[in-house]
This record gives sequence, C-alpha cells and structure tokens, in this order.
Amino acid sequence: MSRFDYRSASLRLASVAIVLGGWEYAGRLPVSEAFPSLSATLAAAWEMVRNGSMIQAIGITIVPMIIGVTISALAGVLLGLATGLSRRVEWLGIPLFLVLQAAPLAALIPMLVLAYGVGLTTKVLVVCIMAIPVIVLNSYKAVRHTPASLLEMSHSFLGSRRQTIFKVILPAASPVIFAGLRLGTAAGFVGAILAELLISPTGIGDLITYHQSIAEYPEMYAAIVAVILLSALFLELLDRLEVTLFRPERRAV
Amino acid sequence: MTTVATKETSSKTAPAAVSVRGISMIYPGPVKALEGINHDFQPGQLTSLLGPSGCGKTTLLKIIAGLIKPVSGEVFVNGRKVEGPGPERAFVFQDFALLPWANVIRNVAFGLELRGVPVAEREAVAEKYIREVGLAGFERKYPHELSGGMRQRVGLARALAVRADVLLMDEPFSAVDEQTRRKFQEDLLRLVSIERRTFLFVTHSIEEAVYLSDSIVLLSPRPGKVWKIIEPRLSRKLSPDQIRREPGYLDTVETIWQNLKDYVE
Amino acid sequence: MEIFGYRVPLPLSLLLWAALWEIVGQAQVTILLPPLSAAILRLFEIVPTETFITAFGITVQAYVLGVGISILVGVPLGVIMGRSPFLDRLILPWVSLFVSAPLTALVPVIMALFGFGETTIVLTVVLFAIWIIILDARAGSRGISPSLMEMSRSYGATRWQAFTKIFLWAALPEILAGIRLGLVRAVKGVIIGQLIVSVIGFGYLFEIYSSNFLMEHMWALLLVLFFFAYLLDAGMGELERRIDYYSAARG
Repeated sequence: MSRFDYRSASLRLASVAIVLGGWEYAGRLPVSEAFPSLSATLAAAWEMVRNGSMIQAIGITIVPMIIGVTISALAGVLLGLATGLSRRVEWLGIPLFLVLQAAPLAALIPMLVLAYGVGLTTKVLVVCIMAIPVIVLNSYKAVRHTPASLLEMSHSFLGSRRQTIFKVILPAASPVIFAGLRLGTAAGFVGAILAELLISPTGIGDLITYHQSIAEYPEMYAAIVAVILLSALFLELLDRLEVTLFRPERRAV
Repeated sequence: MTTVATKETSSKTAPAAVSVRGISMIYPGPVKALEGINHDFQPGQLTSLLGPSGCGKTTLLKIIAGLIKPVSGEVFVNGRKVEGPGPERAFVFQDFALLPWANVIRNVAFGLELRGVPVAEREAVAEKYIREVGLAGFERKYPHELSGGMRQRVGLARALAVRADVLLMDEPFSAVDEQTRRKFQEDLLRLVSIERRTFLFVTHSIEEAVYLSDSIVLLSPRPGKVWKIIEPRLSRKLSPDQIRREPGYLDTVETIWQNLKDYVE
Repeated sequence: MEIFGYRVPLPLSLLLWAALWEIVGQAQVTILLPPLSAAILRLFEIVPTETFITAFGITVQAYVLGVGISILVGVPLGVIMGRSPFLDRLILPWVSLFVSAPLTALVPVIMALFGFGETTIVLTVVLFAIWIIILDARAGSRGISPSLMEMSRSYGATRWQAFTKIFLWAALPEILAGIRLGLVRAVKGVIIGQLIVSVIGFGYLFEIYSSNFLMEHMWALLLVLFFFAYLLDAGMGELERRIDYYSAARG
C-alpha cells in the first residue's frame, strides 16, 4: 500500500472520528435536551433492533421503496430512452418533465395520502412520482449525448438501429442513467419518509414522529440515522450494479 | 472461375476498384466542400487524398464510405453503384471510435458482431488481426489502458477483421506522436503488401502521403476539385530510413509543397 | 418536432398537457384532479388574500435567507475544498453522504431543536441546498487548468488578483450550475420544511386545504409553487447560458 493510500484512509478515519466525537461531546452539553449524545443514540438503536421495532419499521418502509424504485427505474429509463430517440416523444415529454423536475412534488403527498389512504399502493405511487421525472431527464440527456463518433462507427459497420441502441447508445448512456437512478432513488426515499412523517403512522417515519412526540430523543435520532444509513446502502448497491452490468472497465479503476 | 487464394484475406481473388463520378457536396451555410470529383482509384493500391485544410478530403472519404450523402454524383465499387455503408468498405476513424466499455478483442470483433457472426468464430478472426497489427497479448485490455497509438491499431484491426475489400482511413495517424507515427507508416506499408486490398487514405502531411502512397490525389482548396494526380514510385527495396533520404522522395515532397504554396497563396 | 413541415416549439406541448388536464378534470375522473380552469380561477381568488400573502412572504423570506446562507457558506467551502486536498479528504465523505441522503428525515431533528418557527424552515432550506452547492463549487475549483494559474503567476498577478480576475471566473460555470441545482432543492426544502412544521406558511395552508378536501385550492397553490420553481430554474439556466460561452474553452 503506497503512502498515499495510508494518508487517504487515515484522513477518512479522522474525519469520521471528529464528527462522531463532536456529536458525543455536543450531546453531553446541557444546551438542549433534544440533542442526545452519540452513545445514547447508539444504545437506543441497539435496543430498538433487539426489541424488533427497528426491523419491523424498516421492513414497512423498505417494501414500497423497493417496489417504487424498481417501477420508476423501468418506467423512467424507458420513457427517457424514448424521448431521447424520438423527436416526437421528446416534444411531448420533455417540457412536462422539466417542469415536474423543478417543482416541489412533495407538496402532492398530503393530497395523495389523504385521498387514497395510507396503504402500500399510495406509498409506491409517492415514490414513483418523486423519482420518475429526474430519471427520465437523465436518461434523455444520456441518450442525446451519445458520442457522435461512436454512432457513426456503428453505422459504418452496418449496425441496425436496434443494434446501435443496445450495443452503443445504452452502454454509453449508462453512467448518466445511473446518476439519474441515484437521484431518483434518493428522491423516492424522501417521498416515502415524507409520507410517513406527515400522515401515515407506519414505518420509520412513524418511529421518528412517535419518539419525538414522547420526547424520547435518542430513539428518534437512532431511527433517523437508520434511514440515512439505509439510503446510503441502497445507493452503494446501485453503484455496484452499474459497474457489474454495464461498465466492466470501471471495476479496476 | 475462382482460384484458391493463397492468403486468407479477401473472398474475392482481385482487389476492388473504387470509382467516383461527379461527386459534389454542399454543407448548410452554404459551404461548397466538393465540386465535380471524378476519379478511378486503382485496385490493390494505397491512394492518398492530400490537400490543405478545408479542401474536402475527409468529406470525400466519408462519401465513399457511405457515411455522408453527396448532393450529386455516384460512388461505384467494382462497377456497382453503392449508397450508404456496405460490407465491402471499412472505415478507420481519426479519433479511434472505440467502445470504452469493451476490451480489445470485443472492439476488434465488433463489425463481425454486428453481422451476427457467432462468438467463437468472430473472436478467432479478431485474434488473427490483433496479431497482425502487433497487439498480441493485449486482447483483454480496455481502451483506457492503451496508448493512442495502440488504440488506433485496434481501430485498424477492427476494419481489417470485417474482410472488407476497401479500407478507408481518415487521418489515422494524426492523433499520435511522431515516433509512433513513423512506426505506423512502416507497419501500414507491410500490411498493404500482405493484404491485397484497396486502401484510401486521407492525410494533410505531404511526407506521409509521398512515403505511403502508390498514388496521390491532390485536392484544391474549397471547393475541392481534383487538382493533380502524383505517383511517387518509390523503390520499396530500400529501408524506410533510406527511402526518406532518397532524392526521388525528397523531390516529390518539395514539388507538392511548392504547388500547394502557390495555390494557397 | 415538426407537423406538416412546420417546426413546433417545445413549450407548446405543455399546452397540450394543459388541455388534457382540463378534459380529465371536467370528466371528474378522480376527486384529486379538478379541471385546470377551476384551479386557475381559484388561483386568482386566493392570491390577493391576506393569508396567502403572509404565507408567501414567510416562504420567500425563509427561502432567500436559506439560499443566501447556503451560497455564502457553501461556495467558499467548496472552493477551499477544491484547493486543499487535506480539507477535501476530511469533509468530502460527509458532503457526498448528505447530498443524496433523504434529508427529510433530518427535519424533525431541526424541529425538535429549534421549534416550530421560521428558523426551522430556514435551516431546512440550508440543509437541502448547501451540499450540492459545495460539491459543484469544489468541482469548479478543482477543474481550474493549471496552465491558467501558471500564466497568471508569470504575468505577476498578486494572489488577490489571480483569485478575483482568473480563478473565480474559471470556476464560475460550475459554481452557477451548483447554485441552480441548489435553488431547486431549496424550493423543495422550503416546502417540505413547511409541510412538516405545518403550522406556518404554505404548510399551514396545505394543511387547511387538504383536511377540508379543497382540491381546487390545493391545486391553485401547487400551480403557484410549480410556476415559481420553474421560473427560478429557467432564470438560472439563462444566467448559466450567459457565461457558458467560455466554459468549453477554459484551457
């Protein structure tokens, strides 16, 4: 291992240590009761895992997440590809999605939950609404920015339209498509959590609001940290998926 | 009547002849890139398209390749009119145009892959040409692990692998350094003598054209017209370094240079 | 796209969607979707009301404050991170974590610590916007061509001159791109913040409308918000375009 790697790794460790240490210290200061220390949060987390409330809550939140993200990924990428490959679909879809992407779609959530209740369907719908616009736009951009030279090369070697799409455009587009999937997944998470925080008393959102309402702050923070770690895990998995499926040349890098 | 080819290169026994008639090209602007190009390219030889920037040489090459549609005129390969790309012509790109996510052997086999040739067969063919361009051992490497010169060899191998009769090369050595370029030129000459195909070569380097070509088509500045045909007739018995110092070579280069200077000024 | 050979500009497709909305709304397919025209009428009704103006004022105030803080803190931080590998390696993991984390989950924390008032909303805006601003400022700062900096030294520029005359301009395209994304995220932040806090600003209005199933009012509010979000995004895009002419040629 070169010196450079040591420095990089130890800096990372130092960074984590500083933040966690700061948290521990700040939590012990008598400034606010609502700010528990790191150790209290960890203890609460452990307890919640033990008594099953954490696992159950994660389960309830994650299922609509996975379903919603899968649907959004498929629908979003397909739509994005269609807008990238067809001028007509582009005309129809892009202005709409541009508006949707800039818009605070979260505002639609209370409405949806109120009208359709707190079930699985609604949550999946919420995740999809939050995730699809950004996935579509990224896929569209990816397709439109396929290097012209590669397209010309495929044409010169007599590649059919279908071959060019699958063998050139898609792999070339995959980094940006996956960037969109990352953003979409993050947005989907926001949607799921928001739906739970606002109205539906289930899942991790409920854990957060419940413990907040009875002023059990370590538990509340534990739930929040769990959410953040969960989303980071999701996104990391997404990264691995991309490298495995589409960009083998990045495995070594 | 067919004779068995002694070298397993082309499915035809004679290399293909390329002809163009009345080719004109106008880009939006309007920019008249080419005007009335008529020429018969000698089969089995390497012909260079040479000229100052903007004379339309790459445009002409791409028209022959079928990648650009001319405003008027026709392209014939072996007497048959062609429009659009075809299996008898293969293009080598100036910026290599390799698939960054595919390794060398997949890139070289790409043309065959597009034709539906089964994996084992196309990889065998690819391996042959990888060896021929001097990249043996690099089959599993990815483009980002290769130097510019090596990437261009992959592009060349890819064009050779589809067994096209006509190879069209668009300033293929312009993106590499001088040393590599010279080596490439020597390797290309060797290739031309082994593979009995027709090579069309675009360059803006006079020396390169004189060194490599059996025939040079000199194009005038925009709108490009066929201005002069020059046949260097260098003795290939000499070593590469000797050739570059031979009076015949130097004179030809100088003549072309003077001609271009007059025209451009 | 073209119809009968005439180029139809892109925004016209929005009119098509609007028409579709109207039709679906008139058909009363779902209670959630009133006709567009009804929503627009309500829009004109509620905008001049005092409740709306107050809510709007609170929102705008919190937004501007939050964005201001995000830019004033985020841009310098990102720039410094781009120049100092040490600080970069220390801070970057956290920025990367938070830029794609569901920040919504952190809003209850802010609420618990800072109460139900405007401070929480401002902090939520900062929370949503700052990370991408830092990241893009960092990218702009890292991407500075070394030859530009060498050139400035060779012509005897002072450090301040080099910074203001060259460095900032060279990093500007990325910085602006980051701010643009930050602005959009800030809109989501200010809305989500208000939704969760729900007793002030638009959150309060949403609460009232939704619990009374006043769908037309809901949509009127949403239209206002969507419109402003789009304006902001487009406006920033225009600004980016103004300086974009040199972004490709930065040595």
